[in-house]
Amino acid sequence: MPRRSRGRWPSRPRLTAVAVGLGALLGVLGPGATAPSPVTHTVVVEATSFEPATLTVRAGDAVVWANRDPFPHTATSKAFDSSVIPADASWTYTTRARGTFDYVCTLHPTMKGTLRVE
Amino acid sequence: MRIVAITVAGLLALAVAGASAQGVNDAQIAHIVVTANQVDIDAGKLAASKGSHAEVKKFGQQMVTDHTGVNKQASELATKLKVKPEDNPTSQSLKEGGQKTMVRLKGLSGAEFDKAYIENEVNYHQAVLDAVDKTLIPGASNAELKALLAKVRPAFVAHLEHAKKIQGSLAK
Repeated sequence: MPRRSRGRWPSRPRLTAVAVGLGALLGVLGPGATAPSPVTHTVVVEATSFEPATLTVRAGDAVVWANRDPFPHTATSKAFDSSVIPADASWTYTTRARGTFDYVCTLHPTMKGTLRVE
Repeated sequence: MRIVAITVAGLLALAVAGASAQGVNDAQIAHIVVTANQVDIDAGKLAASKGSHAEVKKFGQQMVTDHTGVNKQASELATKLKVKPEDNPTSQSLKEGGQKTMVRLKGLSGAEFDKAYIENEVNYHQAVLDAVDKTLIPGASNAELKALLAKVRPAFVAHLEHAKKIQGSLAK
């Protein structure tokens, strides 16, 4: 009996492989192809600067400002304002409107960054 | 009050020039860093309570927060490196200069206090930056200490620019 069943049906690992393959195919051809899932980007805030200073993301992506300095900073623009991000803390902004947003740290006027939302 | 600010900056410049000629070790650099921050924390506390203009009070509070953060990091690094901060003539001059500034600032009030405090902040941060560039960074032998100084340097530049901006708005 075991022999017969092997002949009629693909073995379990093969079925799994087919399922995985189909899933991958759907993933490539499905809605993901036109609208990729949102991505999370990180801007490191360290040595009183934003790194990278210019970041380009897609609308819907999240941007995390991670403060690695021993004192607070802000990421402030016309579109968004983190308010105070304490030392070793972070702030997340989920982008919505498209455009180019210049931002600053209101506490340290030398700190400038640009967020491009496409 | 211009004299006060110039005196403090001048004292620091002289003290650091002296230290530079003699050479400073890492334990002394650690002490200078902590002392320089503490002097500005004390002045900041005074400005936060005695300042008249809202921007001056806010700036004073920020100096307390920022320089306390830098000192915490410097102290943690000293502990990690097993470096015991060592008192030295530069630290002593900084401390004395800071105390003199405090006495004079305490004798002022209102717009006079604001002007004198901000002028001192401009000169003090400029003098600290000169010390960082000419003496402390070149003098540091431990790579992590050197890196810490380089990492906090831009904050001092930002403070200097911020203080100059407030100075400009007070003059209007």
